Amino acid sequence: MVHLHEMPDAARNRLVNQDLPHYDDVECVAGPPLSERKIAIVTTAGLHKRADKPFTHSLGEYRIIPEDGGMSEIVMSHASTNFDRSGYQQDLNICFPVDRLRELKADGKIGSIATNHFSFMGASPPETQEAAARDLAGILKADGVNGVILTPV
Amino acid sequence: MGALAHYIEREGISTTQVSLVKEHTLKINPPRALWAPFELGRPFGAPDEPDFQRRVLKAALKLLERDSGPVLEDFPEEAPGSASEEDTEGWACVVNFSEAVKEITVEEDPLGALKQEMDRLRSWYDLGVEKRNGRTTVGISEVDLDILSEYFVSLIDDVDSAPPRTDIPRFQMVKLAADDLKAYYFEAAAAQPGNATDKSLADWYYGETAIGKILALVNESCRLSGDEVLMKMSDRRLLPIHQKHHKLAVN
Repeated sequence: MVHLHEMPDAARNRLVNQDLPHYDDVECVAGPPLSERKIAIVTTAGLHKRADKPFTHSLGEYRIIPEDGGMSEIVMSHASTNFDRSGYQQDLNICFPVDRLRELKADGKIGSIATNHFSFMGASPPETQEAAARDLAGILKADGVNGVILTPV
Repeated sequence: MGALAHYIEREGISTTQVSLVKEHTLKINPPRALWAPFELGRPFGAPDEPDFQRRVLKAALKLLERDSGPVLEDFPEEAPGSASEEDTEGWACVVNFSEAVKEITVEEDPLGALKQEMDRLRSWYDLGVEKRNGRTTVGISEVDLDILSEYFVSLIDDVDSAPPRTDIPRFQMVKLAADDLKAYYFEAAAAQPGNATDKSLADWYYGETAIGKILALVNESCRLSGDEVLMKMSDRRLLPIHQKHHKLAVN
């Protein structure tokens, strides 16, 4: 239903052609094999703990999702109505694959999992997220994270 | 999302991502990305498909070992249950009607109609929560559903009616109320037997329910409110693009 190719032309064109920054200078940091990496999830799905403040459009802020916290308390306050939420309602892993990550750790495919994961709300101008993202990178490094999987919604 | 990858990578941490809109990824040019041909809202393909989700995650994580970029690879599989229109025909949400109870219509009593409908869905909602070991996505507003229903219906006649929370902006209260009600209905309907897809759920919710009619009325109130933020919301934040045909006809 919300496959891009099924959207009305005008809506699809508006989404696809939205104004976005282009980065010519692409940093690509080297690191150890996957089996030795510590991985964090950073999502733009607007997820957070139920008791957290809901996201407000365009502030570029993030919320903390502790790895050892109760994932049944995770809710979504994303501003957009134009993506499917029924999958997320059924299974959080559809946009925040925390159980899958734990399985990969148990199988030795990744080294370990970060103490905390983090969530932004997409649909915000990217530049509003820069300060928070740079700050977040420092927090991740302090935790020993050397691999981030970014997940949209 | 790709911009976040640049910001984090520039601070010295390798990133990878799942992309659902390839055009955006090509523009933003993140260090490593896996494009997946799935629906918006489903970056790991399908719910309750752990093997498939794990394949997507492994493919995305494997890109972390690439030390020059940008890398953009395609995930080669379609999501399980990417049903064709024919497959989804036949699903219908069965609301617990009783001939002994008078049907309340939105036209005569919107709040009564909403409460009646929500009561009829209650046992399905409870069953869904039980199946997911207590997990529910309802409660984002942190307001009791009864109070939320009263507030939402009151917006039909008066967008200035007293919100149940005053610590957040009004537009956000309206949006969270709409999202909570939708989560309740979707969870209830998805708990019923049959292959409910996101399309069949949305078609039912926006097109066949009392809440769908109420939502269209609230959408119209917001559009005519004279409040710039609510007017913008009415076109963008209450009805999805693919359900815009349920907007009230505008003179």
